[in-house]
Amino acid sequence: MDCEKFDQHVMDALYDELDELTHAALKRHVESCARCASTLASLRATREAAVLPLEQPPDGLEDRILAAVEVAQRKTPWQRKALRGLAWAGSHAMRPQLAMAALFVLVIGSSLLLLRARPGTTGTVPLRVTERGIPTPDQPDEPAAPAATALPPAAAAPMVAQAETKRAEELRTADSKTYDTGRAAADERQNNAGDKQEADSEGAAGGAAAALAKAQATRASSGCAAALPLYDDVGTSYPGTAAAHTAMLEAARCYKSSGDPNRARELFLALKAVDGYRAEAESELSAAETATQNAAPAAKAAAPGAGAGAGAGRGSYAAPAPARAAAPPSEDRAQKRLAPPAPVQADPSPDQKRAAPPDPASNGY
Amino acid sequence: MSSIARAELTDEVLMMRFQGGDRAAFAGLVRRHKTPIFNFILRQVRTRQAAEDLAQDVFVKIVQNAAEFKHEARFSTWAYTIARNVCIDHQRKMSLRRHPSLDQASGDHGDGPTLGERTADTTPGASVERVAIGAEMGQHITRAVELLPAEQREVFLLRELGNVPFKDIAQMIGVPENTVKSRMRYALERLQEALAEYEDYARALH
Repeated sequence: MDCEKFDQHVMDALYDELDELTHAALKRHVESCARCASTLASLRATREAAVLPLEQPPDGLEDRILAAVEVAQRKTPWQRKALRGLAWAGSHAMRPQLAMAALFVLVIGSSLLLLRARPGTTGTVPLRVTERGIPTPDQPDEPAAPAATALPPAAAAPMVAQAETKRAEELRTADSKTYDTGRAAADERQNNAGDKQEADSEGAAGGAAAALAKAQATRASSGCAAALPLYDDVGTSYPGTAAAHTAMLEAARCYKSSGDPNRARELFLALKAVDGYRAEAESELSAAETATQNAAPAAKAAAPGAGAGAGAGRGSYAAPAPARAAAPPSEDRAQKRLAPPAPVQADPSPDQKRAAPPDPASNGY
Repeated sequence: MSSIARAELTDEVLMMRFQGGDRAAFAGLVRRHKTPIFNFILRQVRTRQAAEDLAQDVFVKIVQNAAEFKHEARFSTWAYTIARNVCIDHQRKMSLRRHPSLDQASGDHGDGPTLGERTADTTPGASVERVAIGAEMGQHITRAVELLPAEQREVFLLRELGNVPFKDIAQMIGVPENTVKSRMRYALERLQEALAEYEDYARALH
């Protein structure tokens, strides 16, 4: 080792950071070099002398530290964890491969979502019917509904029409999903005229039956206004069950009798897609249609024939017509979709249909 | 686990136990390191009150970042990295507030010379006559250390108080290891001068 090397290692030697081999070499050099020997000696003496005296912290410091640590431990962990997680995610998100993968997933995912948004997938729709149908007098969209019927079709607001179209579409979607349930209910309805019994025979839907029974009782005792929220509850709580459908029917009748034909019609339109209730709904709709026609004969004049059911009589025309009367032509498409069982409608007799079992051909819709 | 056995445990083992949920292990670390860390901070920020607050901050940060401590690392290196950052933050804040610096007249002797003048002076002031040499020597060293250029003082304190190896100091500060050693050597040489002057004076007193 030479003096230059010694200078590089002298501090390591002073603080015992040298490996044994280097230390031995340094020792040998110091033994033969007076300059380096005196440097090392004086540095060592300084180090030994210049010991910084430690000032004692106050007695309370340790307790203070432990208390502060306690508080910090209680408070921060999840925030720091979240921040750390964010930082981790951030550092990974910056990687191009990951960004590409994320984009890929996003594209595929969003297109799947669009596909699945077609009819037959939305599960919560029955809720909407009943939610909207709550007949509280101070409901915000209440004034719009009577206006739509009272005014001639030309004056009907397009916004209302659009909303109706949407809602109708949703209704149909939901109902086609709960189709099987509806069909079972329909079969039972053939046998049982009583609504309560029908609901009871649903088995699992005991709660629905009870709720429906309560609603019926309320209607009997306190009238429609009091019973409507209860009907709505049945629909909301037990969507797709026979009891819910019955509740819808009863609610629709209530609306009709309480002078809210639009709401009634919505419900009937919805029910028309449910097998056991189709006949009833249609007869109600045709009655409503006749009333609307009488009120506004001009509206009908421009309207073309009712879609597929071309040869149908006046009565079978009923279903799509009221909506047509109240809405601009943009609604046409929706109405056609809404009223798929046109061939069935061709049969003008509601009673006859009620007696007949559901037609598999029309069920295919 | 008796306290005697705990005293023999390394910092790293205590830290590992603390990470496993042993609070007593952390209390052990506080007991062991509070004084050197307090002094490390005190020699840089110079007021006891600030040093106490900052020492507390350091331990809180140690706890908050305990999950990041890796056992290949030295606890003292890690703890002093935190302490150093706490000091730097504090000094940054103080400089924004125009805190009195070393070059300004000291507060307790408002009319006296600056701290630099007082400590660089070979002849002591009249007030420090004939006190115990040991305590006087200690004060002398303390002043000499406080008078070191900041970068030398930092290395000196890390090595002497924190027992942090040069290699770790280099990493902590972000300079080559040789630069750290040079700073340490300059620091020792300055202290040597200050001590030599003091020894001459002490000898003259007798």
